[in-house]
Amino acid sequence: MGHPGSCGAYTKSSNVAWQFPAIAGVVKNVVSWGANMLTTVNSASWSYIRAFEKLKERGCRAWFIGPELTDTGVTCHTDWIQSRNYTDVALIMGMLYEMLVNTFNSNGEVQKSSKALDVDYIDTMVHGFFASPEYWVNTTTGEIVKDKPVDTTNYRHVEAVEAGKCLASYILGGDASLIGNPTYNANSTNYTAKKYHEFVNDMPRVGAVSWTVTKGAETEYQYKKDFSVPKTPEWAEKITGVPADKIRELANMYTDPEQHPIFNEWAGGTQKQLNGSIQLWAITALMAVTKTFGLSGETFGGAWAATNSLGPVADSDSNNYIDFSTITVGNAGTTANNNNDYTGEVSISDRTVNSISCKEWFNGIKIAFKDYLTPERGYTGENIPDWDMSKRYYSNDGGVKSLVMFEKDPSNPDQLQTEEIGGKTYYKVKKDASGNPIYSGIRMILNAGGAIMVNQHMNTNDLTAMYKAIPALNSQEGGGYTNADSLCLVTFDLFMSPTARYMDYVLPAVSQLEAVGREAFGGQSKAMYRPPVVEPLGDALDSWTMTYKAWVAQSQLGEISYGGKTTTGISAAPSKYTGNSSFKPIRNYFDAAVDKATAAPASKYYGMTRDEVYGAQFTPAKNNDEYICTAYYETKGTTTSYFDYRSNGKLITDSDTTAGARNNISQVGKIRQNLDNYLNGAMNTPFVFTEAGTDTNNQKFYNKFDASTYSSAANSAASLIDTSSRPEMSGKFQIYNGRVQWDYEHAFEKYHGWLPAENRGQENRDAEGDLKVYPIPMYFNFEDCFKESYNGFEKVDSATGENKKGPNAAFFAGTGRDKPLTMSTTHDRFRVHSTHDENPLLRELNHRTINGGWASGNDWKEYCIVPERQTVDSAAAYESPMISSAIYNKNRETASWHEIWINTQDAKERGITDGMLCRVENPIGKVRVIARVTDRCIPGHLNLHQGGWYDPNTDGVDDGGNANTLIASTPSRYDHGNAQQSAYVIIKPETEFNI
Amino acid sequence: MAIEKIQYAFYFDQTRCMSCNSCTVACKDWNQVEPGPVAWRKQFTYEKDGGFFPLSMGCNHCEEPACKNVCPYNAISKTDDGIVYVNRDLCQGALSCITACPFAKPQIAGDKQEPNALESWKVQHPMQKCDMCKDRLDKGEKPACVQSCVGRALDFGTKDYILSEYNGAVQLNPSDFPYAYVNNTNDTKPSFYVKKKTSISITKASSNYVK
Repeated sequence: MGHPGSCGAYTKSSNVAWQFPAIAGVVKNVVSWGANMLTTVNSASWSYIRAFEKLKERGCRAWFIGPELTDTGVTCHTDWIQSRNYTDVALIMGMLYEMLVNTFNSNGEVQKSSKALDVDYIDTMVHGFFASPEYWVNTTTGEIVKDKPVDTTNYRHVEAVEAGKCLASYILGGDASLIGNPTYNANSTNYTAKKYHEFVNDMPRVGAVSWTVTKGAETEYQYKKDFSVPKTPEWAEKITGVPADKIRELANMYTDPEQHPIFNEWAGGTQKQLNGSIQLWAITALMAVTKTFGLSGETFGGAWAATNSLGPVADSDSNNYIDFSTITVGNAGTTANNNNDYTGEVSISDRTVNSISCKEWFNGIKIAFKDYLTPERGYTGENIPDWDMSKRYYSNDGGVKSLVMFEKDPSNPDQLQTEEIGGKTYYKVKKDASGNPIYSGIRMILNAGGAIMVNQHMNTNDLTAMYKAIPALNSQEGGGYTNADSLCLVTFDLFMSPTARYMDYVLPAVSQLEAVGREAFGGQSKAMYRPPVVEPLGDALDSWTMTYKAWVAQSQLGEISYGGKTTTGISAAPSKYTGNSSFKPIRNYFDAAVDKATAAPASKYYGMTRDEVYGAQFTPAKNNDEYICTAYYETKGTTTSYFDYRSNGKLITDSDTTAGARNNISQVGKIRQNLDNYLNGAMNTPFVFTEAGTDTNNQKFYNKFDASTYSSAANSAASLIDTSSRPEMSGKFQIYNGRVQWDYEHAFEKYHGWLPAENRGQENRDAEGDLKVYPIPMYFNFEDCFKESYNGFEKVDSATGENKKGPNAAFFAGTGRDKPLTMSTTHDRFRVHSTHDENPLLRELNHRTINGGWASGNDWKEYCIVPERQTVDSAAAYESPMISSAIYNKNRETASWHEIWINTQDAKERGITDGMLCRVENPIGKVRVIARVTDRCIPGHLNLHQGGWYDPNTDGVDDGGNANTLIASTPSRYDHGNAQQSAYVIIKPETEFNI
Repeated sequence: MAIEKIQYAFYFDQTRCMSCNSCTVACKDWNQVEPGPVAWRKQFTYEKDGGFFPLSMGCNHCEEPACKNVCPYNAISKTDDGIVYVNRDLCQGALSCITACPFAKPQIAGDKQEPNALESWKVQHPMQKCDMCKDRLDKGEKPACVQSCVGRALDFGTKDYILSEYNGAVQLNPSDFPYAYVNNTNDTKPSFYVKKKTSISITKASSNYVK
């Protein structure tokens, strides 16, 4: 299994990169589209706190936008703009509307002001905010031409953006008169706009929205009804809850150069929402349109555009650091050569092995074992209401439809046989004696650690029901241990997390404190050696050793392909694996790298002992005057070394005018500089935005943008049939990105020959026959999305064309106390996912007894002990031994539950008081939790800290307070990733559980 | 020659605390306080006047400790370095300290959290509280809570050191920190100095959304 991007566009980025503390000293505004950095990235938290401290000392502002003020928000931010969950895109559209109407007068003429957009810049560098014609661009000169050149060498084709499909038209609701019907015309002031006018005389910049709505006014999707509605700040206020005036203020801040630099970040959880990728695309679009991109550290990137241009960079002089980066489990057991390099030669490149979204593993089990998922075996699908169980698989498709067996090429085992179907070439499917495909699916999972299956996956009830219905590995029905057709689950576990309860094998792993580690402290980019604190117990192995042993075993079985494919197949496994002959403990490799540095006269480590080198890695603690970071925050050209830092204690954000250090930080890199120089000139000549080049002093956007669709198994050459219609990337910021839609629709197509023609590729159709994936970042109302997931639309367009109520329509019709609320599942610092659920000192920090105060839990001696019920003879998902015997035995004095945050107003309306036992439910599942009444949640929103502490009771309610019990299986739009941060629930006092 | 008395004190930077509770856990771990409701130090983020204020607090080792003054068994003393120390062997469970302390920091465990009484104890569960990690101080180390603080929000030292190092810090008082005073607001001269946090500016969600 692979990255979620294996099956679609994925915004590959991290929330805040290591450079942030270094640039915090120069930005004027930080805008956090949600933030939980201090909790989720432990090693970076101190440098993050310190960076914000310095930023605030300069009078700058840190804006927190979101429905729940996290601990990070409390600690770091100056302003909290309360906004509804899942509505960031609507907020951004409202902001962009304000900018648009300030940019053009009633005649469509461009206006210059601090509240207006820079239209020349947008024409030059942004694709799809306004309409544009089809054209060809010379990648060397930047010249654009209308017609296809005879010789297309050095040219790329740029797709047209229809007036009715550009983002600005969507924002205006298709009413071009709101901005005076602007055009590209003879008065245009930049090369690009003049060319567009030359290609299409007085070409309109915007037009009537032209997205298809099959059912017209009868559509049940609110977002489609809003196609023709201007996305004014007032429109956005009704969706987001952010006052229109504040939306205008934010818009004006983004367009005002005096307010720049603006540093944007986002909470990691944002991406794990149903439309998380769209939100990040919209934020990227905002940054691109307002020219606030380019700060190192913000790292928005991926399918839409990469905004992290050059700026402060890590010290690349290898004499200044020791590079441990190649000491990974990927190199375990590799024999060091004379230079002590690690080649990473193991690679599974076998084309016969496909890679699907890591989130779709449950779907892979479904396609393999569908025949067992029947009501007779206790599986009803009641927790997965959006699954059409007449199909073998669930979502369409995240790579799952390619999980059938194919015929290998006997002359080249690295290749599959192909066959012609309808004039197209597909991989040849292997069939059983009856002529049916062999559904390989996923039949074994090796879980490397953590409670992945419960914690990193939605819909724990469905997962449990599925496992219970499938024959166990060691059962007679399952065929015993040697039956390759049975399901085999293996996990490495430290804490016997809830995932372990499902496993056939649980193997001992070591904790971080028991193993040599390679860590990035303080959010640095380069890794350091971390020594073990104590020796591991029993048979537990560190991942380095374990990986080596696994490769030895698999190599001896001939199960692993090694790189270096030859004409006759892939090369055999090296003897060091098959012969089990070259293992060295991981510490040897660190020592070798250190020894090399200490022996090199040019190295700063020359002459030091190993202990001195290892000791010098860490920032010395000097109470409240510590340094933010170490040498690796240094920028190229600085004269200050790591050791100077240790001796003089300078902070990277202190005012320092040293050329080469602070100057680099205060600028946004060469790419941006080139663009600014162009825009300050006459703009009569082309701007070279597509030129490839390796000269770091003359970077062009090409390098950053050309690869800006996620390269994956889904859209690799091995998966696609015919790419002649695939749009090329323009080389600009892709506000409109036709390739994203194309890649989505054609993903894995070459593996789909076994399906009817209409089911090949990924289906880009919703229940009404309209698009699910669009080439622009538009707002999808979260109510629409939950109605899809919970099967709750009033009318469902069935195969017969009849309309009928969805089975869960009543859930959405609830009012008053029954009105659903959004629910986020923010990380909790105390229990770090679920792996520390069994650590009582951490668990008690967010457990409470009924009406008890904070941290009043006292059931630690009744938790994770031998369960009261050893076996349960029932197929129902919730019929299993309970982890908390205090709850099972209804010991009111000691039993404790997980906290849920609820706003004061919501609590009052529902008769809920602080410390009250509550039930939270939706069509997916039910949990029992204790209410914490707080104004850190806005009205209409709940927060149940995420984690995999699943503990179902016999009444079908999860007493573990596992957030994933409430979250539908629906993958996120575009990328088939996790949507764990998406839930719509009702909460009420618990009245049916008497304790 | 008389020994010069000093007063050790805690410092807390309310602007740096990230509510991670490392202090809470490190305290229990070092002092072998079992899991359960009794915790010598607790961190919580309080809500006041629409703002949000983290506070990490254990015993404040007051210059005029109310607990000491009300104990009928002289189980509580003040050491030469200012530590308010409970000799658990002397405690006979009068409980007067529990309510006298403005901050409710003297605590009594239950049977579950403290199942095994020492032979030297006169009651099953004598009062317990923070002793500033005396054993660590004897070795020249700072208390476990301070040492574990990820955000460098906690510090420890003599009162003179704290006041000289942190100019803007104020002594704990009921006006600025009402949420700390759970029993009463008597002035016991707590040895606890805090750098105050200003409230975050909040743009409240408009009522003009469909809720």
